[in-house]
Amino acid sequence: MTSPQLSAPSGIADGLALVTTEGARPAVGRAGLDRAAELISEGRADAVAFAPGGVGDAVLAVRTSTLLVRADILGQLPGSLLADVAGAGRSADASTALVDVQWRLNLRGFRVVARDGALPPDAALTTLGGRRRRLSGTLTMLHTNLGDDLRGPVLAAAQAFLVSSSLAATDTTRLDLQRSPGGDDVADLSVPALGLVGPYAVDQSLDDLERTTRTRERVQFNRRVPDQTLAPLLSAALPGLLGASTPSERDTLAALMRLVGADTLLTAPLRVLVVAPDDGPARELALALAGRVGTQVTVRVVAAESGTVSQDGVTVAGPVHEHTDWADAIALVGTTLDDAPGAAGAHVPLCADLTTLDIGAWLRTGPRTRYRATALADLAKRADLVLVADQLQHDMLLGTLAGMGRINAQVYDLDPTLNSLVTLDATGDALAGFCTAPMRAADSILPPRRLPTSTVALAVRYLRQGGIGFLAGKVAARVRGRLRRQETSR
Amino acid sequence: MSHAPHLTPGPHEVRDGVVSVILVNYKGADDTIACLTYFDAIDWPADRLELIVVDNDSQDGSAETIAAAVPHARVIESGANLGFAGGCNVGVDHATGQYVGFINNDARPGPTWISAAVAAMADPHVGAVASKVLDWDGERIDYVDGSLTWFGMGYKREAERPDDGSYDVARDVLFGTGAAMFVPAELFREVGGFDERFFMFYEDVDLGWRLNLLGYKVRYVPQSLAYHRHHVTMKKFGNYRETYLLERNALLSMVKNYDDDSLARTLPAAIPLAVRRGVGRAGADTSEFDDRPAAAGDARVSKMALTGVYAVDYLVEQLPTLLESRREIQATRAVADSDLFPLFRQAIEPAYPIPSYIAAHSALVDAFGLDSWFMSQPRVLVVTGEPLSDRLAGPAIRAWEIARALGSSHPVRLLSTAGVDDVTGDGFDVVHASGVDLRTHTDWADVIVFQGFLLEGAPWLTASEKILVADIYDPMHLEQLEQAKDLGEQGRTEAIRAVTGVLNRQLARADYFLCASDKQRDFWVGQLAALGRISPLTVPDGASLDALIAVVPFGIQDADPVQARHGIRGVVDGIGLDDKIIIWGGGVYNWFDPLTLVRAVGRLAARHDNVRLYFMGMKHPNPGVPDMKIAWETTQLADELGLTGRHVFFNSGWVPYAERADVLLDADVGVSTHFEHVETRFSFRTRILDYLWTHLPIVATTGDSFGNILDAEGIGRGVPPEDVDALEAALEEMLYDDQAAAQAREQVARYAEQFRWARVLSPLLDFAATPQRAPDIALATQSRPADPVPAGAPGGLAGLRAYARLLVHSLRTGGLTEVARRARGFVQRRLHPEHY
Repeated sequence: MTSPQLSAPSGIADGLALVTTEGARPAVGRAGLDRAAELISEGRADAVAFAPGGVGDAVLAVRTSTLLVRADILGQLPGSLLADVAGAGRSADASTALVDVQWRLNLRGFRVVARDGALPPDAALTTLGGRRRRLSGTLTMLHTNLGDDLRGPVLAAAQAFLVSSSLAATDTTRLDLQRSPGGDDVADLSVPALGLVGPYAVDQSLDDLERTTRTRERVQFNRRVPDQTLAPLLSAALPGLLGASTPSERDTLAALMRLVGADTLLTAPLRVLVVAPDDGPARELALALAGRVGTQVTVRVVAAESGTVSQDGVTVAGPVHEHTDWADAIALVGTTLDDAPGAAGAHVPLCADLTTLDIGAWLRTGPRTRYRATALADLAKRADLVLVADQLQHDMLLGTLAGMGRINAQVYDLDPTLNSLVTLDATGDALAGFCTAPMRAADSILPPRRLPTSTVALAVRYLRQGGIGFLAGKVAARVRGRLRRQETSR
Repeated sequence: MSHAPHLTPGPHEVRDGVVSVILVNYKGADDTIACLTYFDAIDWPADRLELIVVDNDSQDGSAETIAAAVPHARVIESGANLGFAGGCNVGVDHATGQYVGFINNDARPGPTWISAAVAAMADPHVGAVASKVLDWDGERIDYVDGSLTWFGMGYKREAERPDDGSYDVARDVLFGTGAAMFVPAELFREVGGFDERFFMFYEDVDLGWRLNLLGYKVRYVPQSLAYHRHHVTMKKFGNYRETYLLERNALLSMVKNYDDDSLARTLPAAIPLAVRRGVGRAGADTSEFDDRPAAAGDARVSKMALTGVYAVDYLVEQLPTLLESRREIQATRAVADSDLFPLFRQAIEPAYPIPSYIAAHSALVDAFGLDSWFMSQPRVLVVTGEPLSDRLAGPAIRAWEIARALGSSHPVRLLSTAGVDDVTGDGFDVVHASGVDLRTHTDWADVIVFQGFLLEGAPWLTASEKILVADIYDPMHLEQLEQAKDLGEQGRTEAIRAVTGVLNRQLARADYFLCASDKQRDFWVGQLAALGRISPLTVPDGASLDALIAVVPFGIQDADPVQARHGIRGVVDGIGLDDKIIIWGGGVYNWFDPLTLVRAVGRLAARHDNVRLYFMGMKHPNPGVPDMKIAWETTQLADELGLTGRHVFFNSGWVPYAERADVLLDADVGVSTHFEHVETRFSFRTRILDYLWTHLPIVATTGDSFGNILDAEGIGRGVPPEDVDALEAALEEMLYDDQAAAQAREQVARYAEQFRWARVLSPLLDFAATPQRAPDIALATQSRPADPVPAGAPGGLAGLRAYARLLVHSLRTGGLTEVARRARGFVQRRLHPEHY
């Protein structure tokens, strides 16, 4: 197995990596790489894929042999995927793995664009086995990367399409009593071997399903962007990924997508739940937001105190937590997590708009309980984006976020300004931007922090992690550390 | 909504009260003629019977032969082999009956096959009648119910079982078998008849499924009986033909009938599974020919290996018409998928024992969460801390009856943590487990109904996603106020605290609660509120608390009591056949007041020498329940008053559950007396239910849920606490005033009906049909309310002392088993603090 080429060729800007399938030479010349590097350095792309006909538009993923990408974000992808790009062939062939790389970058909120470049002859397609692996790898990728709503319909349509399109040159009526009587004395059939590639790929995709399912859980947990945001890119990419190249094949795929309702899901607008008080400035801001973004996304507004929910001015039935479950993204405008039951545990982007609040006064004027402080802490722990009205609030919220461990390497390394976490938004532009293109925070992939509350609890944890030996090691290290500190203090 | 080109729009002649029976013949004239002759002996008027034979282009002279042999049958030649679906549609198109009946030509009708079906179809909600079908000899089951796998394959779970009378109750099913079924003719035409794309197999599944979606019932009617030789027609062809039809028709049914959400979960799993099934059955290797060039020519493949593959291709081929069918069916459906899943019976069923296939099935079920989606028959574990033997105390009786009621619609295990001794469940399994062995059973269950201390014995349940139903009909902490008096001040304080903690853990975690009375319900709602469980999340504004807590009183057996032999009269020394017997129908515990009763009986005995008081059980069958001080005081008092063995009698053991009717039916009056305290107000005296069951007039202290209604309902007399005079008078009236006693017995019989187990358990049965997590628990895992009463003992030295006292208490109340159980709980809490 060779390694993928991850370092930039000489002369390309620092911080970029060139990823090619099975370590092949890049499929584009120096000038093409330079233009791609320029796009990335200008912030117009995070990765550039080279494929025939690419014109610089954003893509979900294209078949390519060459990808230029920011080296820092490449580290967010699992090593096993990059190993497949190098040709390890664990879950997919190299070409499909590089498609998967692009898709996963999109899931993490990075922009991939396609530029024109040659696609070298695909050696994987020269054998029946290579073709079968290509298709089963594609199915595995769909299983892994599609969110809960889209996975079922799109995967079913893809499976049926791959089986049927493979069998295009095969007479499949031969088992049908009605249409093809006779021949019952023969136990087998002669069929074009190529026709079996799709069906066998579908079957092979089952062989490693447990591992695929575990991978899927990680990918879905780590994703920052909901499928609805990527839906236009996904719709454009699917025919190519599934090899639907003729008009007839594209029609069949489209009909299958209609049959299972995938077409509706892919064209449905993003669903945003806006939670605001029943009246006051925050309510007005929420209603203004609904009017502003209502043509692009579906907005439901929750009146927090009364619990009523409306969409386009019409009341929608059901308790609030059902609407929380409905949403692709949630905006809390002048409200807290308690006003949106289920939001704390939901894995959707959540924005806390505090622009209508003077946080300090809000904390000091409430009931004499710790409730507001706790609510603010919970909000700071969960929110993917916090919006505030002025610099004082901004600084205060930064402190709150820091206290909750939100100022961390994951957030800082991707955005040293920290604007992606807390932003001044006097005009409502950032709130509208979040509602049309919501994204989870960079540190949303971190597991919930659980700090030991006592030495005993820590000891129990060590025991559970590694048994007595592990605990003894930890104790010894502590003792050594304490002795060192005593030595130093003398 | 169906693809039925041979079912024309009409108009069709319809003759009221006429039944058109349709048989499809394909090269089977002898079978068809034999079948038709059975209609000569059927219990249905000939002038209201129309026999229609559709010959599916047999090309062997079948049509002429049948017409000659059975001239009163109409023989219609379809002109082509249209399969079973098309042939039936042709028959219905020519039928003039109000109802159409379908019967395979290799079957025969029983005498009431038609009449029973027509009677059932008088109900306008019944859209089809599924006949009972036995084998030709009438010994074994062919069809009594239709089950459906999640991947659309219908199957008959009961097939081949002996017909032992277990299937003679009408019920609603998902589909009937096309071998013998009925549909109102107009409805059949309206819904598009059988889908002719199916040709044969599963067209009956599809029709039943569609009727159910429209809100009609498919009613299994056992009196509509037929007999069947199975699959005579298909035996003429290769097995792959049948397999192919089954595969493709299962996919067609799914695509047509599932709603969007169900289809999104099932289809991406069903397609590869269909491929794997064929490949697996053929033993083919799909990883073969890796190195062959892509341009390679043909390959020889087993036909069986291609059955699933070609079925998928057929699905794609039918896309244009399928899109239309699905759109129509989904637009007109009146019933949600989740409401139909119970009729699937057991959707998670791989159905084929092929290792590679079973492994794929398991992985797919896991990957797409199908087991939780299809909780058509949630597995229910009923847990009691009481031993299960022939001697059952109240909690065990209740658990037993819950298991029995749920067992008719769910796979059920009744588990005792205290032991099982030589008892067999009636439609459910009975098991014993404790400690870590509980895990196997809790993992198995989808829903767990429990009493007592389960969360301490199985602490993993607290953080699990299992649906927990806490049966809190016994407010144990209130009992401790009296029961624990024997433990001394400190022991009592800790006992109350510990039991309150146990209950709080249940209240904080369970998804649904069962209590015994409205008064209890109010009390428990208050305690739930203290734990943060009453909120708009659990109970939206304006909604009822019924979604969280239900009143399920103790019940009485559905079967009336039968006395096999005397249990007291002439059996207990000192009690004669004609004596007047007062029965104390349960144990003697500290919150009861048997002393006032003994005194009253002593006074009564001075005037009535034949009065007898019988204490039914002095020794609780659970060794963990200690003998209480009041029991000793009672025997002492009876001795002191010279009543023991003359007017007052004690059963030093416990009456077996199955024999209690023998004892109770010997009594003239049932009695229950207690002291005035808080436990009384919230208690539900299960012994009173036995009195109701055996129609005994009741004399009891007022203050609890029964004592307060005795006079108002006319079922007995309520007396104030510790009032010997009032008790004596009430007993005398019920024992010696024949008219008053007879009136009371009559009213008891009336009043008792509401407590039949089948009736009182209906809220639980409804919940178990579509069980759900409580929304606040499911949503608020990150912000669970704190437990205001700590469940464990305090920390530090005080904690050690508390544990020592708890140890002593555990030893006294439950012996070493109880100590071991608590020790395990302690270790689990230390090792898994996140569960608490």
